[in-house]
Amino acid sequence: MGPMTDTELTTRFEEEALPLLDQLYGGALRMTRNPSDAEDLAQETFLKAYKAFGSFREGTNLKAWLYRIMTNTYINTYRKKQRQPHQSSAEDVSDHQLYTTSSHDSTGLESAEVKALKNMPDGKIADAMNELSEDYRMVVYYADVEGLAYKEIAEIMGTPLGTVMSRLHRGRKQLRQALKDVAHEQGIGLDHPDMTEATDTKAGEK
Amino acid sequence: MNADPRDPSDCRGNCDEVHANLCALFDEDTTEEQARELIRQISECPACFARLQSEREIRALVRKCCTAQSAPATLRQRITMEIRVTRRG
Repeated sequence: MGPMTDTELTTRFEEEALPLLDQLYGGALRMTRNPSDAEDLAQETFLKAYKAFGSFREGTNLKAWLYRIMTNTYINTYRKKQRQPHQSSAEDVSDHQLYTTSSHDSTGLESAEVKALKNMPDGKIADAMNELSEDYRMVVYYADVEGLAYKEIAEIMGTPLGTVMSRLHRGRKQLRQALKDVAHEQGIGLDHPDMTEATDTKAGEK
Repeated sequence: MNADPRDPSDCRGNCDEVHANLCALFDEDTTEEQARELIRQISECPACFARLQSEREIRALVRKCCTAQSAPATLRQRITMEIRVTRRG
């Protein structure tokens, strides 16, 4: 266990790792798309992490380390069980589907669409996220929800940086398209009066 | 500010490029200076500017919705307990 005593290790784990449980549970929910599997996955992840905590290098990102353990755990246990019907089509959906529509139509959301989404229950948007294929979903989650660095995401997912970037790009695009569809299901059409109006002008600051 | 939509042809040709760069605006490795330049470009076109605005809001919304559920208290308890048991064992 290294220079740290068990007690020190436990205390540190409880102080540093356990507070990340909410976030990791959120990640587990995205991975498994099922609350009970998410609980199991999070629990298994934290126990494995605890046992391996002596080998965690201080100064590196603990959250990314935990996600790495979670990803491995997920691949080894849950994914086998779930059999992932979406998996195979992940990398194929793609260019054709994404780029046949003009970028204006496919990537951005109009202000009325954004407004409609804001008024929806959180679950609707989480559902749209869950519809993405697993690789896209997790990369978008890590980058845009967890704010992890691309390099960290590459390590978590065991993929090259370039793969992270392209999945992120496509995943974001697909998510926005899905959100657009969700907004339109609520009767927001492109001919809605708001669509032709200019948007609020308070953007500008980073 | 952008209440008078310009002739859309103003931006045709570089809108796509600007949109591609839009993601870079949120990138960790984009410098302040690059970000300022991107914002300058984006602000020149109402369509791009609106896109930036909606992109910001969508990101915030996705983040909010994906972090809405905290871990169940029972899960936290189970983990804490198991850790202590593991330590003793």
